Amino acid sequence: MPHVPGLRSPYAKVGRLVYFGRMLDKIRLQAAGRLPADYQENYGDQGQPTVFDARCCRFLGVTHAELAKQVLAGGTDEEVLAWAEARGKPHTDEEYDIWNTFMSKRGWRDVAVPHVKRRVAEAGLEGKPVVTMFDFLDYDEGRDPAADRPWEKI
Amino acid sequence: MPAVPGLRSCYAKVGRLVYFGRMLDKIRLHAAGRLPAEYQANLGDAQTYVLDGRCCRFLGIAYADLKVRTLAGGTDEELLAWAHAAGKPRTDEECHMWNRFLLKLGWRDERSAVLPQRIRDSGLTGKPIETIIDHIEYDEGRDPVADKAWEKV
Repeated sequence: MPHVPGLRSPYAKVGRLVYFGRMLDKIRLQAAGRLPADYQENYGDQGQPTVFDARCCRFLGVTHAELAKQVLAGGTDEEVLAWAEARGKPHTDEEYDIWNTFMSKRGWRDVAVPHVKRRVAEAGLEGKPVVTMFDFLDYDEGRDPAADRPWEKI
Repeated sequence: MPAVPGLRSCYAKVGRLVYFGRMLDKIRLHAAGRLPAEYQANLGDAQTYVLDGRCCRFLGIAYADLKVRTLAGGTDEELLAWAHAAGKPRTDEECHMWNRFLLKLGWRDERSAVLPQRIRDSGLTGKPIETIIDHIEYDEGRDPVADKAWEKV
């Protein structure tokens, strides 16, 4: 996929969480009819449990449907996160750290390795130093995580 | 360090958790006076980054309580059941995430900075060590990279 306007990197943080801002972007783009077809399979929490939207919602303890409703009612990313944290499950800073690093390292030394390899081949990204699913999403959308080392800013 | 008799690999699981069994081994060896001096700084939950502390915080129990319960006797599985009952309930997904988090520590994170010095200090330069756990495994004479130990978790 080329760059999707309005869709940020999974490494970008809102509050203590990676990926959350990207999930909000997907909700807003979907509502505006601008989320590409390739992204529909991984949208929301009703499909595969390993989809990142679903993992993020389960971590927060909110459903994707109620989150989408809150996002589309308006508010900043920080306000939506504050709503989710108040409504869902409380977590310690260490639990956020565990979740962030699990997500950002997904695809390296785990069961997602074949999935990342398949996505890389499908996207014609062989030769790029893609090691994780986050790396793949970044390269696929025109960013360069190996050069930027965004994991050092988490 | 050479292999320590009675101290299992970090990768060995008890129930849904890696490392927990190793922590029990350390408690038992320490009580028996057989835990080498080099391991005693990393015993317990007083320091944030120590793996015993991470495991106890994940379970929601104090290391001191686990120690008392372990030395009172029981199998590894019984001790884990006690910890799950006394501590914080955890879903399968949370255990899965914690396992992966622990096993990948040192790769692309805030612990990456300490790894090169540890490798040099233990004379393991040249080994394909990418994580804190890799370092422990090589240091005790195991080869997690050849075994791809992470694939069996």
